[in-house]
Amino acid sequence: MVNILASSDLLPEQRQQLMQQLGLNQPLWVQFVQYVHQTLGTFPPNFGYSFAHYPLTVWQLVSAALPWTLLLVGVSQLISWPLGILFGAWLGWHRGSKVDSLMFGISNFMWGVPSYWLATILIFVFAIELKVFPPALSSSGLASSLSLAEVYSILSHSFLPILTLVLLNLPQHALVMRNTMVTVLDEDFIMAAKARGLRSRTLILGHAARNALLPSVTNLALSFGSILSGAYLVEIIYSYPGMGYLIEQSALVRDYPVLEGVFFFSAILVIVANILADLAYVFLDPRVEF
Amino acid sequence: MTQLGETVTTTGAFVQIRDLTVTYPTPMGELRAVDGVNLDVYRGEVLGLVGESGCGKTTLGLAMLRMNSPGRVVKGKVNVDGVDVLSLEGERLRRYRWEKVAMIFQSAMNALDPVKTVESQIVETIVQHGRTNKEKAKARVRELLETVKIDPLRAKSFPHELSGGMKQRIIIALALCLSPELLIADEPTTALDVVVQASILKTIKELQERLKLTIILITHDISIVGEMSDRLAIMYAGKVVEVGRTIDVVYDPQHPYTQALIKAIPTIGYKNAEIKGIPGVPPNLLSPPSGCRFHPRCPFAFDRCKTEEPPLINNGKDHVACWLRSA
Amino acid sequence: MEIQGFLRRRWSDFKIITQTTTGKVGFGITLLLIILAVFAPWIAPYPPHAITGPSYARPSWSHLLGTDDIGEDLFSQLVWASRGSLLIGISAGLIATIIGVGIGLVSGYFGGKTGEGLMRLTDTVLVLPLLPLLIVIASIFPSSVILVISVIGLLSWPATSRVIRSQTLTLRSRSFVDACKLSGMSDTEIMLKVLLPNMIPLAVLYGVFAAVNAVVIEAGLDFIGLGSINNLSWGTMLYFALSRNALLRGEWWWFIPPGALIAVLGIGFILLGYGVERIGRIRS
Repeated sequence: MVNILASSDLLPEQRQQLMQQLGLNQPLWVQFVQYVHQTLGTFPPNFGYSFAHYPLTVWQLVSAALPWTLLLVGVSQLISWPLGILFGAWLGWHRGSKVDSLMFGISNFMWGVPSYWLATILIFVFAIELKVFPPALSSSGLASSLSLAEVYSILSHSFLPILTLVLLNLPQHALVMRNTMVTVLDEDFIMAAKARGLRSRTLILGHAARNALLPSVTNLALSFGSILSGAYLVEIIYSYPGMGYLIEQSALVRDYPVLEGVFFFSAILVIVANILADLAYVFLDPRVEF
Repeated sequence: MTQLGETVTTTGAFVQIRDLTVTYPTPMGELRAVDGVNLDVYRGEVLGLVGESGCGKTTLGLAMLRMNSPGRVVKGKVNVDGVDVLSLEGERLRRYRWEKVAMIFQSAMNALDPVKTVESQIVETIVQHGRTNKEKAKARVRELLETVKIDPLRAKSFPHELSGGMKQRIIIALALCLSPELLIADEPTTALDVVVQASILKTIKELQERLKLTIILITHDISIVGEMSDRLAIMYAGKVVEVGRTIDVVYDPQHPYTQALIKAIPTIGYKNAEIKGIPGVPPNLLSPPSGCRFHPRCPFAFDRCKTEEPPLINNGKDHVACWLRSA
Repeated sequence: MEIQGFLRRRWSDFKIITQTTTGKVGFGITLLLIILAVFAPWIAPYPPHAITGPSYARPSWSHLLGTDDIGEDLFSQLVWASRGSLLIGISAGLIATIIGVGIGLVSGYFGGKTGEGLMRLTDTVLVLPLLPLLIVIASIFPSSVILVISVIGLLSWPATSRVIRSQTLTLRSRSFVDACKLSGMSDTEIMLKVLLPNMIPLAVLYGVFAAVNAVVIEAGLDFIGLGSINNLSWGTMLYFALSRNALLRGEWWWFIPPGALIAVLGIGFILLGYGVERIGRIRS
């Protein structure tokens, strides 16, 4: 660690001094325990000071960026997931149709579409050519007053990022749901329900989709890490002041404490999302106990 | 000697099947699961439909409800109480299903949606057929559960909380919820152990007598059918080969296949009980044997059997499709 | 003799893959891209870093995609960059698949404590967000393609291992595995000779998704300037496109093709993956 921080033209005594100061000459496991104690022992978690934005602490920077990321990911998933699920259910029912084949192609295609590339195109089309939305930099990150002008500014700056994520994620959610629907539709109880003379809508939504929802929820949880990564890249290109933007800026100036902090909280976000999905699953599936 | 088609008039049977042919598309061609079947079922009787796996009996049962997909009916007529089943479409078909004819499926254990309560599934069926509102439907559910000997408190259970036998009873309750006149029971007890089997069959028999149901009981197990049914129809390779009163068919089988089936039933108690299987392999329905389909496995086969298909004719005792029994 | 049988089976595999439109398209695209990468020196009209024209030139017959800010031909860059991206996709995908299949097989076959433990490991790795970690690593260590590929591969295997594990569990409960054990086959033999061949189509399908993800993420790293700038990939092209103002100048012929080709690689690989998976379904 010292070798990275300090340039190589420190004299040996200075190097020794630095190591002692930072506690780096103690056995590794001691360092680890100290580290955990230091960072997580207090609330808010103490990751130290940012190098680049001294005297701001890591926590201050992260806690300012986190809400923006939550806004971006939250809104985009709130739009793309339910719509994706419904669309996927419809596709599963109409399996084999032209629309289904088309969407199958598009969804798989979106897997390979880089979010930053799509964002670039959207910026080009909307912001530069048509001048409808501002291309970058949401209103200054630390402002907290919610005047109408502020809200409007936030919304108009968030629109393109959210749109980008929705365009990318909706087909993927739909594809997963479509595949699980197809599996469920083959099950005996669906045929039995049809024989009972139930209406098509009841069959598709009430029975098939309701059952297909379960693996879809699990899948959402599993893919959350990738959704978050995609969101970070989108933030970067739009200079949207969330965690992704923060981590990129910090990486460019080698602000290690902040990098650690953002990585840590990103992992926390993924874990929380997984826990929420687990809870939802318990709620939805009567066969599973808590 | 008369042909079956000639003796039965329109005032006769509750269910009339004429020349029914159902095929399934397979990568290797069209498979004829049911091939030119003629059959009558009389009101209030229990007709046993017996045959080995793949003989077409389930397909025939499904045809009563028009649930053959991905197979299709390519020929024939099915009349249930005067209704031409094969010509029903849309809303009329939806209402016909379950109101007129209901079915207890094979592997009925999986016929229930695992994420919904038992009650909600029965209520849903009742309400979607426009019978009553939810409240009255719930009362009906309790009624039905009592009829099939299940504690009404179980109404709010989920399928995975019930035993196999209980689930089967729920399925029966579901089948009866709209008071259908015709019930098709496809292997209702195959997946259950013998003790539970007996009690389920007893329940079905009681219900049939009380509600004056007409039942088509589909099974590969002749021993069940012996007790439960009034008449017996034997199927082989997509065709009906013998039809008659149960007593006649079981104690004096006319068709060689039926004879072999009866002989194959092990009886407890006989000292030198010998289980005789039927030699040969089940027929390939993609390209069935020429002439009488049973001829490759029949001990009495002669030349005519190999070239001409015997029609189902009334030979005085019952209806048989065999050259031995006709002129 | 054995080689003949092997080849014959591979030929029938090929036929199965190309029977569906999906398979045909996937195979075709992948093949084209591989040809593009392998024969880049012959397909590209100019060396990628040679200044062969005026700056910011528009597309023309001599420069199919115009030139960049210092006059290098963009089309040549595009062709040469295919090598970088393809290399990354295939190697990272391979690493992820090998680890994933290994862990999935062992975990599913042995079950019990080992299986549970491996599953915990899988879940832990699953939770680690790939991009943030990559960014952190890229800023600590000097940029190296091998490092990036390794990290991606080491983090992308959980999806594969879960699927392989459940397949193994299903197959293991079938009696033929017991039969193999009785005939004296060692566990390793059973896993490698009996179970593994059945898993290959499924492993390929999931491996393909990992590969595509790898290409996208690595290009993303290049795009934000943290990748190795010397390794020309479509991501680096996008980086330069944006930092040299192609966007503001409206020069869509610069920033659209690289991203488009990433997407094309994606769909090509994925469709091919579906085609290969079909082999597994048909054979079983």
